[in-house]
Order: sequence, then C-alpha cells, then structure tokens
Amino acid sequence: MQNKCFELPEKADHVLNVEGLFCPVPIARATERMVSVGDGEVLEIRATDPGVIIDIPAWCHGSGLEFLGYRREAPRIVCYVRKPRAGAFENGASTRSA
Amino acid sequence: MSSREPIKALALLSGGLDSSIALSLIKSQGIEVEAVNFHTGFCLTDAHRALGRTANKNGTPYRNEALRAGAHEQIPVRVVDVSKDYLPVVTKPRYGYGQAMNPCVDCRIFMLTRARKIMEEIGAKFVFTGEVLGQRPMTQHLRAMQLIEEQSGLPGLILRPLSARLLPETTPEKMGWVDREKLLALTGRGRRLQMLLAEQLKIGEYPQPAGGCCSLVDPNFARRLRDLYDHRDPESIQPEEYVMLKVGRHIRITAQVKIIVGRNESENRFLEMWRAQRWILTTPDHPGPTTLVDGEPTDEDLAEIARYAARYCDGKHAPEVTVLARRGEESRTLRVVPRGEYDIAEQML
Ligand code: SF4
Repeated sequence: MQNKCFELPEKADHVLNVEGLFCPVPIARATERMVSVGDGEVLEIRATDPGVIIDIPAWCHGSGLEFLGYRREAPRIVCYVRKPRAGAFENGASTRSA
Repeated sequence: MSSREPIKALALLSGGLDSSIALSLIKSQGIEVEAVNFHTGFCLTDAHRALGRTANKNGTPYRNEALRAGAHEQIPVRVVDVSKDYLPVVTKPRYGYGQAMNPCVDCRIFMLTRARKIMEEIGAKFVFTGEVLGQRPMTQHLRAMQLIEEQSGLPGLILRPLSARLLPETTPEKMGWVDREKLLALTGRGRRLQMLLAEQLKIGEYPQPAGGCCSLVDPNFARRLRDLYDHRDPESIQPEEYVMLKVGRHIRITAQVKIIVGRNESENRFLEMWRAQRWILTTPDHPGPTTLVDGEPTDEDLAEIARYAARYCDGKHAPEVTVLARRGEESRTLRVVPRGEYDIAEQML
C-alpha cells in the first residue's frame, strides 16, 4: 500500500474490478456501475491501466462526482469515487446543469 | 432567450480540436450539454496504454481526450462501450469501406442512431458534432450528411456548428434554440482557423497533432484485421485480440495459427501478459523477443514456430538455438535451426 494521495475511505460501498482493461473501457464500466451506487456512497475502482489516474478525475470533474483519490498497489491502481448526496447522477451521467 | 426553459443538447464528443470547438460554441449559447463518447474497440489509445507508452517525456500516460474536453467544459461525458454491437458495422458495412477498413458511413449511422436513443432518454432536443464540411471524403459532404441524418432517424436534428452556415438550416436553428449567426462556416481539411478559434475560445489543451484515433483507417491494421476475420469467426474474437493487432510483427503459420513477435521491451511485456491462455516462446540463451502464439498449434506447428522465435533472437546465425515454450503451467524446451530470413516476407501480415 503506497502513494496514499488523499484521505481515502477505509471501506468502499461498491467495488468494481477493471484490471486488464484499457482506456476507455474502465470508464465505460464505471459509468454503468455508477447507476447502482446510492447517493453519498463510495465506489472503489481497481484498475491496471495507468491512465485511470488522469481519466477518473476528469470523468468525475465533468460529471459532478467526487474523486476521493487513489493508491497504488502495484501493478494495481485503486481509485475512490463518491456519488454526491444531492443525487446528481442518473443513467450514467450527471443531470447537473452546465 | 433568457426566460425560456433550458434547452438540452447531446454532443458526440471525441475531444479532438473540432468537437471541442463545437462543444464550446454550443455551450456558450446557454445550451445545457451532455456528451457521449462511443468505444468501438478500434480506438488507438488502448494500445498506447496497454504498452505503457507515454504521451510525453515526463511519463504522462495518454489521456482520454473526450473526458479531458468534458472536464474542461464541466459537462458530463458518458463513455459507452458499443464494441459488441459494432462488429457487424465493420464486417458487413452497407455503404462500403473507405481507404482501409473504415466503414465511415455505416459507422456514423450506427453512432448517431445510438446517440438518438440517448438524446431521447435524457430529454435533449438535438445532437451536435464537430464535423466540418469537406473535411473527410466519405462522410463530410452534403449528400452523405443527409443520408446519415435520415438513416439515423435524426432529420434536421444534427447540428454541425463548425459548418452550420454553409448547410441547410436545422431544427435547432429554425426554432431559435441556437443562434445560427453565432455558428461558423468552415470548410475543408485545414486546421489553421480552428487553431485560432481554439485560442479565442480558450478550449484548453486539445490533442496535437490531429490524426484521429481510429485504427480502421490504418492500412496495416486493416490488413491484419482482414486476415483475422478470414480465419476466425468474428463473434469469437476477444477484445484483447484487437489490441494485439496493433502490437509486434504478425506472421501467419497455418490457417489456424498465427504468431506475434514483440519488437521492443514494452511489446514483449504486453505479450507476456497472455501466457496463461496462450503459448509464449522465448530464447533463454540469447537476448530476443517474446513470441506469442494465437490459436491451438500442433506439436509440428510449435516446432516450426520455435524456428521463427530463433530467427528473431540474437542467435539467429547459430546452427541451433534453444527455445522455451510455456503456456500456463505447461513448458517445453526445443532445440531448433533458426529460420532463414528470405522466406518470411510473404507470411508477414
Ligand atoms: S474514422 Fe473510424 S470512427 Fe471515424 S467514422 Fe470512420 S470508422 Fe468511424
């Protein structure tokens, strides 16, 4: 467990394993999974594509999700994303007004 | 315009220069935008990522440009994996292929049909794209654009903000949802005006140079893909096999068996990842590449493949080379005469 970048949650409510999959499939799977994540809940995304540390924050920023950070468990990168309590995420995309 | 209900639109977003400009133009007209980015399985970024290539000397991985553009404009981007449903578009395109194996007309119809469904689902009124009139010979001329609109069930509902003033008025313009006067009249393949606009509109770090992200337009990739479809049921092909088409030297051994020989460290590492299910050959006594076997080789095939592995290692001029073949827990050691250089060319894909 290295590179603890932010204050990461002890435990996630949902876990998505996208190891061995490459851009943009991890994001497509995460988008699908986010539909079943409840407001305020945390999704843990376990990936091996090194680009997720760029893509996941960008995805969160556009979609109104909260990127909590990541840690490296070589060769894996584990990212944490929280769906905001306001329920801004529907059908895999935010309904937040631009 | 300010007292009206907010109008929502769906962007078809690649995150390249043109679609980033289109996004900025529409968003700046007070339209609420969501974007969709389709993963067909033929994008180049997956291979860059799989091989651990970096976009610059600082070791930054290749980024997903659609997500970058979405984050820059703070709009949600829905990445949709359509790779399974996309297969017939590539294998049996109704409107044929472009210069390589790119079924661009069918591809646009497929994507816009999917976009229409998402548009309806999210309550958007229209779809917009970064297309420029005359930029691409197959899809970006008036007749093709009209055909694509009709076939995707979006007549009058596809706005192309970069060329809108050269095209017939669309519903969003007629209804006053979008001000046509604020849209552009660009045409052709040049990028100079777009680059100036990008500066004015502050659209952020768009990808440089342009060049697209679709492997289907690459003749080398297309040759390997055709070979794969000729020898396999396309339905049985796994996603990683499409990535493999972008890696290494490909040599067909028999109708059932093909090999991939790594060309550098990162390709060798990538090929090693698949050794649980596929034979991997290396030459323990000589520096050399990893050779991956695609298909189920007979003992005879494996001995022959070992000669290729020997051919590409530093011992290629030795009278005999030891080759180690491994698959999962299985392993065999073979002593072979390296194959000569002269007779490989015609098996190369
Ligand atoms: S270049 Fe590739 S992604 Fe673009 S329209 Fe043609 S087939 Fe589709």
